Amino acid sequence: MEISPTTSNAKVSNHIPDDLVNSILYKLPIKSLKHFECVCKSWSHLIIDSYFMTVYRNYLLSKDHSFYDDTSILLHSTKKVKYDLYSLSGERFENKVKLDWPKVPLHPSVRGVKIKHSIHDISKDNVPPSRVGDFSFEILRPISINGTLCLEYPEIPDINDHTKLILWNPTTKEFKVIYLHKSNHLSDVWAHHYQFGYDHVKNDYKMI
Amino acid sequence: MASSSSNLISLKTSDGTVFKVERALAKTMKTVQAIIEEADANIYMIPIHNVFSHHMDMIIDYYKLSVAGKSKEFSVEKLDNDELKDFLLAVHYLNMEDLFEVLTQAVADRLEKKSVGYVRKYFGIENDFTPEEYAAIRKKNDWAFKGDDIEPEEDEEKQEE
Repeated sequence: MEISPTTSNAKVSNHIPDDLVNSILYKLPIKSLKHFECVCKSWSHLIIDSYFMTVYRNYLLSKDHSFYDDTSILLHSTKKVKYDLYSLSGERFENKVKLDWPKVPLHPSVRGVKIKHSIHDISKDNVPPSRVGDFSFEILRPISINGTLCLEYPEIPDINDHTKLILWNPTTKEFKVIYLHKSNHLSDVWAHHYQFGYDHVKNDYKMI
Repeated sequence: MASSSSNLISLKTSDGTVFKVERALAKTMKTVQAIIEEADANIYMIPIHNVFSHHMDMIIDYYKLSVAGKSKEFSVEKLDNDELKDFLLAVHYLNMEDLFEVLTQAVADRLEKKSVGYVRKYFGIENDFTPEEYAAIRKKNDWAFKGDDIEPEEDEEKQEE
């Protein structure tokens, strides 16, 4: 830790050293952290830096979380044909909030294809080029890792035999589409045997 | 005369007050500890810059509570945000690990619901974004700005009218 020498008896200067700023940022809830990303450029770079985020996450995980106060349940409702996602929080899980699925843009070649599935048909004329998918998703082996879920499109046909999976963080709304190659000789049965996990050595997510 | 086997260390704050503290307390201040260890002879009095007597009072309170296993009872509620910042800077200078964690958490808790403008002022930070850059980040993190208990931005309130 750097000590800046001062010989004056004047009041302590207003300038806050960087390591001190970081120590405060690590202790903010994720919402505030993202809120303050626009304070200044150096903060915005810091907050998305992966090393910073690793330390931040370790702080979050090591904090004492009250089982009753901080837990929320995600409810994946498969009512009728559309899947909805809700978050239930509060002491008796009385606060029910509907979560919006991520707006994942449709692959260009999908838009020309007539999509038929058990829910409803969508003709190609109704899908404008920039239209985002209004689909609902399956959650893979319902598990959440560090707040991230892995979603599957149940209805979209594979383009070029690529299966699409989506890593999605419902809190920050960030998502990432993953394309997996499907070997020609694998049957549909195999297609649903993925597993999704986190490798803390490589500090990244892993799909098996 | 200061005896070399004395259990008390003399610390002189910025405002000229001398505190005689137990060696164990001085040990929690890594900065002071470093000064003691570096000195060839026994130090008579250690000046601690950036630390005022009201800071030392609180440091001693915290020390007494933590020795008694009651560190959770320590509270900085009575300090306003700027006083808390000054105290944090003093503890940061002295390099006191536990109290530092307590105070940074207290500051984080206070800043949680504040506006971006307030945070800039608090840390003395200039906004170096262009209006377009700011708007882009704001849009990306729009969900983080929503909430009844969050302080609204000064300039945005005017713009929305």
